[in-house]
Amino acid sequence: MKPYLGIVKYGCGNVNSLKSILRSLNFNCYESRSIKKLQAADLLILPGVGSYSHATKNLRISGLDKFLKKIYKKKPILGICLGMQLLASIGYEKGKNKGLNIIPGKVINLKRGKFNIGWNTLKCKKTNKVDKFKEFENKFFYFNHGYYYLTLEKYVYMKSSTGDYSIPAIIKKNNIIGVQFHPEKSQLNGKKFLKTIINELIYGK
Amino acid sequence: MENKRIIGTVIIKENWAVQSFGYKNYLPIGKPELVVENLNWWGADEILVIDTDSTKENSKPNYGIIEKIVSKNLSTPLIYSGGIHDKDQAKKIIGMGVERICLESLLYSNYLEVENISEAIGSQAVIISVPLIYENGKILYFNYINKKKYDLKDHNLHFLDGNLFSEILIIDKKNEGGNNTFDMRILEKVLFKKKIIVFGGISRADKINRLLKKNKISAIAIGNSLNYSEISIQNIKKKIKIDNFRKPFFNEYE
Repeated sequence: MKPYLGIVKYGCGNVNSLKSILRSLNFNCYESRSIKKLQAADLLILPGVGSYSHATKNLRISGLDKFLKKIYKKKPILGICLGMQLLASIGYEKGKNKGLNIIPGKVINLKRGKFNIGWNTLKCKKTNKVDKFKEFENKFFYFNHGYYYLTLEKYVYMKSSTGDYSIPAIIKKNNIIGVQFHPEKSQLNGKKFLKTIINELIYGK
Repeated sequence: MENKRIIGTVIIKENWAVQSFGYKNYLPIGKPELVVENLNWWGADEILVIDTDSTKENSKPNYGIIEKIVSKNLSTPLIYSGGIHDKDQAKKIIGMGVERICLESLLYSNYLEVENISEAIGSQAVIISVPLIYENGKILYFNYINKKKYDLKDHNLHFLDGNLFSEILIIDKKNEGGNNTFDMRILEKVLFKKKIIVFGGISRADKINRLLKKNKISAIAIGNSLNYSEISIQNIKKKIKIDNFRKPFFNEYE
């Protein structure tokens, strides 16, 4: 049976892009803000494109923040770009805002006025023990962000260099994965990545 | 390393993808969604869709065209330009499956709303378009709404270095649609701090290489010339001679 992927509807994100790519990969997926529906999913996805302040406000108002803070211990979550950053303890985009605090860390800006926009490669950390990530080393993925996730090294599995910075590109804690890039917009590499990582998170293979 | 980009650009007029010549004369190419789909297969780094009808005063974004385009399961980042006047429109467009939007006239008519848009979708998703003309030794700013030209010196563009957006799209208005006619002199006096995307009369590898070597330029947007041949993005990319660049590849047809 095909697994169900629940895309968390919190008012931010290029949701249609994500849905169409996931469906092309033969996954069942739906977007919802209903806790009952999201509870039924095999995996939750936090999509991205938006600002941290706007997103955290929406999560608070909808009550989804409380739900996600509880459910992450039982259900795998994939956070994409802003969705990844929301896993942090705190973010500083457009003011200081509390995140979900699922993977400890803070979201701070790249050098003032700087952005990381475009295609970049992933580099494995030596301590990375997840073989599934290693196959994506040196592959190009699409990044688009002005803030990045500063966290403990033990959670960082792959990095990417922007020239000025080496930023965490993939973070992981137990069954929670956050990716700073947009796999849904990274052409063939992105599709392979989504298929591999979603299967890894749901089936552990 | 920050890699520079080639942006495939599609101009839309009356719901058709067209070849545009200075935004004055147009020749039809075909259905926008099919033209965009080709750019997706050819491995463009981003795809920019400019709806010229929506740039008119009081017009709205062309949601119908956006819907048709995103229905093609694109795996290439999409930028939409045309008729965006408020935060709700911007959010709707992003939700439909567009990654970035391009604003122009709103910056001058309603700066506060640009702040609202940036707050809602993030400044990384906002590009500001600046149409310029080089004429008699001067750089002129062209306003699409009232069709008037202003001396760049007199036109208050200082806010273009603010934090509400990520990149500036400079359009060579006069040479748009020409064969390699982009006027490099436009860039000599433009001193924005932000990274720049250039568009308008850029078609051949010699000019693309010259432009990409400039530190401030992060991307080249190419329009008409991409429609003259198959796999044109890959063919252009093969001729790029800089290191910080994603090499061409061939996407799979599905």
